Amino acid sequence: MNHLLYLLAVTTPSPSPSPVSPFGPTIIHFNFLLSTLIWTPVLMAAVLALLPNPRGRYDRTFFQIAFWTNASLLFLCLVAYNQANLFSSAAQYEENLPWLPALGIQYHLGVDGITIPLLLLGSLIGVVSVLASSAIRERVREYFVLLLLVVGSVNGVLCARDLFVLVLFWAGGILPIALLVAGWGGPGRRAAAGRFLAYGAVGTFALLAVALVLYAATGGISFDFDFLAHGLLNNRLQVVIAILVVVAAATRLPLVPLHGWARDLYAEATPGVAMLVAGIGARLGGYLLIRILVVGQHNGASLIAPFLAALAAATVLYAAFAILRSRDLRRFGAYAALVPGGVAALGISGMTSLALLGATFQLVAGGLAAALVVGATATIAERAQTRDVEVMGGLAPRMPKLSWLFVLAGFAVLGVPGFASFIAEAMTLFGSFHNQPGAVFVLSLGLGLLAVAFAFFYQRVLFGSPRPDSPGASDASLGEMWYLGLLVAMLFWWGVLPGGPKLGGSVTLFDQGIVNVINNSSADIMSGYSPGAS
Amino acid sequence: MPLILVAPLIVFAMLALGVRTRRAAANLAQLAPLSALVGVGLATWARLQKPEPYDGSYEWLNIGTAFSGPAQFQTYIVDIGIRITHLTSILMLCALAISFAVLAWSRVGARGEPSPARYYALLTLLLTSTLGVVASTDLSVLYVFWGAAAAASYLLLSNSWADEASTLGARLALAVPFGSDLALLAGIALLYSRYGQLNLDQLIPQLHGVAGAGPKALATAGILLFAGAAGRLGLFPFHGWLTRASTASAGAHAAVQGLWALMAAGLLYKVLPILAASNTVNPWPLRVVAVTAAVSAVALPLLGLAGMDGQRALTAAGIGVSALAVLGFARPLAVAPAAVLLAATALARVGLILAAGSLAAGMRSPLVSEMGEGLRRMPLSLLALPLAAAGLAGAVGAVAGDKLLHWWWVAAYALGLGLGMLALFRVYFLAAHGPLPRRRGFDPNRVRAAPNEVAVPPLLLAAIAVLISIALYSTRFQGYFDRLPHQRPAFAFLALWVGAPLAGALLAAGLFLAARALGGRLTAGAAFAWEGGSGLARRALDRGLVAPFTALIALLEDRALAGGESRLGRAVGDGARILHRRVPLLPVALGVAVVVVVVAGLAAPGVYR
Repeated sequence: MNHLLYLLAVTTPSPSPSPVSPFGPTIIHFNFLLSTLIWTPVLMAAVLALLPNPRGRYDRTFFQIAFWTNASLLFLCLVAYNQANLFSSAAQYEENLPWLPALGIQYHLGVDGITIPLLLLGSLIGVVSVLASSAIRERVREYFVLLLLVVGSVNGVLCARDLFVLVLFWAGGILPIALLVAGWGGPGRRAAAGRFLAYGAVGTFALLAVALVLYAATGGISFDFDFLAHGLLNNRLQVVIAILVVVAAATRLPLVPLHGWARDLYAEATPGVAMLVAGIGARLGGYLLIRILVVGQHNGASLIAPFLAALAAATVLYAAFAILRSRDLRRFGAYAALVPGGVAALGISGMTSLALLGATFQLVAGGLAAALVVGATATIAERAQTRDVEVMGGLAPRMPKLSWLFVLAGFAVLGVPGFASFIAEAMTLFGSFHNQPGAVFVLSLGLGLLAVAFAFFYQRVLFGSPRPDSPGASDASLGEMWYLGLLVAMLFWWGVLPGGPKLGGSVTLFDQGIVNVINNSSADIMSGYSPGAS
Repeated sequence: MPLILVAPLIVFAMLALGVRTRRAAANLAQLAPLSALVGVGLATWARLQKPEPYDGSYEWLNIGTAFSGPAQFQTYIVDIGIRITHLTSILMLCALAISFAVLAWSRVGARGEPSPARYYALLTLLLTSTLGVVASTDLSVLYVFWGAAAAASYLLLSNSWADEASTLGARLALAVPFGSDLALLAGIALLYSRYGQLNLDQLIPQLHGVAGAGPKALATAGILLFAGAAGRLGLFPFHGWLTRASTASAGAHAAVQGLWALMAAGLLYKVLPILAASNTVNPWPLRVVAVTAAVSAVALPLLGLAGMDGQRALTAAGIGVSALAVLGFARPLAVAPAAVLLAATALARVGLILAAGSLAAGMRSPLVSEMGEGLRRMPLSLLALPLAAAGLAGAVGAVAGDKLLHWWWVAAYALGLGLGMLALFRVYFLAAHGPLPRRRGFDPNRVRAAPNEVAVPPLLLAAIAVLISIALYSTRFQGYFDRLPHQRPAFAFLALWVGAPLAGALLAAGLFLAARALGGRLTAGAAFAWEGGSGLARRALDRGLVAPFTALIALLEDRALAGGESRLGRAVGDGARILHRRVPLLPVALGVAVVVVVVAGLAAPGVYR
């Protein structure tokens, strides 16, 4: 109780301006919103772990607890998104508690225009991943405990304003994911989990090195982002930090050549886990690039931008060619899920306001698209009782709903007009062309090849002639339709109304517009990088 | 104003989500062009005698992206702007005419299409996108509609997924124009990166200013934008996607090529100031336009002569004549008439393809070598061919004029017209007057005239094309679209422009009458050579481009990466095995603590300050 009172006393005078919203302000007005988002899933995981479950009698209850936990997080994130202040680029919903003052480590949380949409994405993907896990029948308690821990760690990474705290949350999410893959995945689950663990370790060490180097170089006073971003570092040190950040981000986003874990994890994990990792887990790599590299290391970011752009273009091109030779439907989904990350990385390397806006939007839209394509391929593989494309054929008449969801997933990854990914990709490509024209061209070429690969797969798997030797297939259940449909709906919503619905062209209705929320911070961050800016 | 775009979009959504039966889909689809016609008709009527355009806009995005740097990069504004001028009116009306004709033809002609709701929904989406491209005033919005049309075209052409040939053609229709769409995107991105502006009303006045793109960048942007239009028009070397799409349903094929021609006309008319602005110091963009159009006008009818597939031959010949309309874009004062001419050729081409589809359905074969006696058995469908040919070639002379810049323009016009008509009338004579051979499972006596729903729409489209062609000879009609003075070409040139197509038609008749057997063998030989050549090219492309990359990826994925990962995995596994061993906890914990303290101390001297 005393701890709670202390927490309230310390956090009540919020240092950020009070959020203003055009509709529904002060629906919920408390100052530990971010802590709630992080620790509620962790607390519920602990509750699940301690609840008695004689002979699996309460397995369904565990599912329901996990679902309602994520659903309430989604509601809170929607409120946070709706109440976000569009006229201040400062951190909002801020919480700042001293933790290890001798080392300059604080429990400092806060979100801005870049983080809020990602938090919303994370909570949405959390709900979707729980729904996608409704078919789990073995060790249900353990499964949902680990899933909730992953959700908590993701939210922690997004909310942390202290680099040390961020590293802890970053590392904290790796083991639960690896255990989820190793415990409930497909035939190659152990190798997939091992690879993820190994790549995760490399990324975490790189990130830890970044934290220590930055900490030392700025005088060893604080790990706080605001402090570290204002440190005056020479160019050589900035480039070293930039390389380390890119390595850490590339292991998670992932970018070629550090993408090795993604193929196996997305192909072997359960649909729920694969969607969680593809939808939000992998997006954290892009977030890291923005938060540490672009915000804090101007010269390092500018110097390393061509290298990052080359990696981005190579990732998309590689994914396209890999899909062309892939004969495994789930690996097809895994490679397709690499593409949004590549586009986002290009936007980050574009070094213009529009490119960063597009890249951040692409993290959100691409997260939805990647989750959709991974989820759709996993569900089709389950329903068709095979992953082998050579055996599949003419599935569309037998599973019309899933077929169209798969087609829409392809469109979302490619960035067809009408989907949020189109706007994000257009902004990214237009914005990046000034500084990275070659990479833009190569990446677009990769998207073209990807379109051909998708067409090939659609013809072969869905709409071609049915194969007599293929096993029996059935269409998506209502639950599967719900969670995949939810992703499609969000992609359409933000694709058609990126600036939010407006009454009479000016009065905003219940959604402030995702681009407005993102731009609130991205404009501030990138002003120094504008073309022609001194 | 929103009725023009929103109403067809709503119909599309209803078709895609709610309709199951063929009849309901066909009936509902008619609502899309009908509702758009009301909007376009009202706007056209309101502006019939007024020079000012009809403007409407909805602010889609308005973001302040930066607080410093050049002012044009501090905001990103996208308005969904619609502008209906005299020219866009006629382009939109042509799009609606094509849509009505294809929908009417499809009621009977596309009965065999799988998933009729999808077919009609995609036709509606293609129409909506066409209207959007033609009416938009912002290049990014234009690209949105352009991309939607590209997706709709691909899905429409691949509607018969179970048919392998149709799917291959559709895949080509996805891949080839993607390159040109990419060029268009690169052109738009280049313009944005220099001017920070994609609204044409604000961009065009800046073109002649000091700031922004230099002549080289502007010329590059112009060429890229033109490549976008050329790809979708099917100009050489992008023609493959349209000619190979003849394996799809005739309705889909006709709609795709007709509506894309209109979209290309709209795009070229909008971006021509960019090409013209660069032309003041760098003549390359307009040269590229002229040379591409001239080469296409000559080369594509020749390709049309090579094969026996009627729809493919007519498509190639049609693209060739449309290319002559594009040539008009490279001439000052001929731009708006050239856009109208392109619209007329679009109508005629749709008429040609629908008629060819009816003939192929009636005679149970797409090959002209297996068609014949058409004038006796299917007169209405067959008459659409010469009528459409008249609409296609009739007005080229009116736009070509007589003040040509180079002698090769004359050669291109004359050769293009002559060869186009030769390729077109070759199909006509074979189908109309050739013998209808008996084949296995096919009795020529059972060939009946197509029902009116199928036979009349191509005739009507061809008739409209002829009317527009005749009207284009009036200088007043030409001036109505650009408010510029126009002159009639000299009689000698007029005679040349009329004589060239006539010569082509007569040559086709002469060849048909004189050496039918020899001509047939020659054509078969040419088709054989063409098939062989294209097969070789495909194999070369596969071996030269795709195979090395996939081999490289196999090498990376299966050997290098997998080897590296397995070593990494083993290392992680070995590390994890330590946990299973009995280790003294206290010394290990103390050791780890010492390492952490030393590292922290070395890294951060400020800790002990």
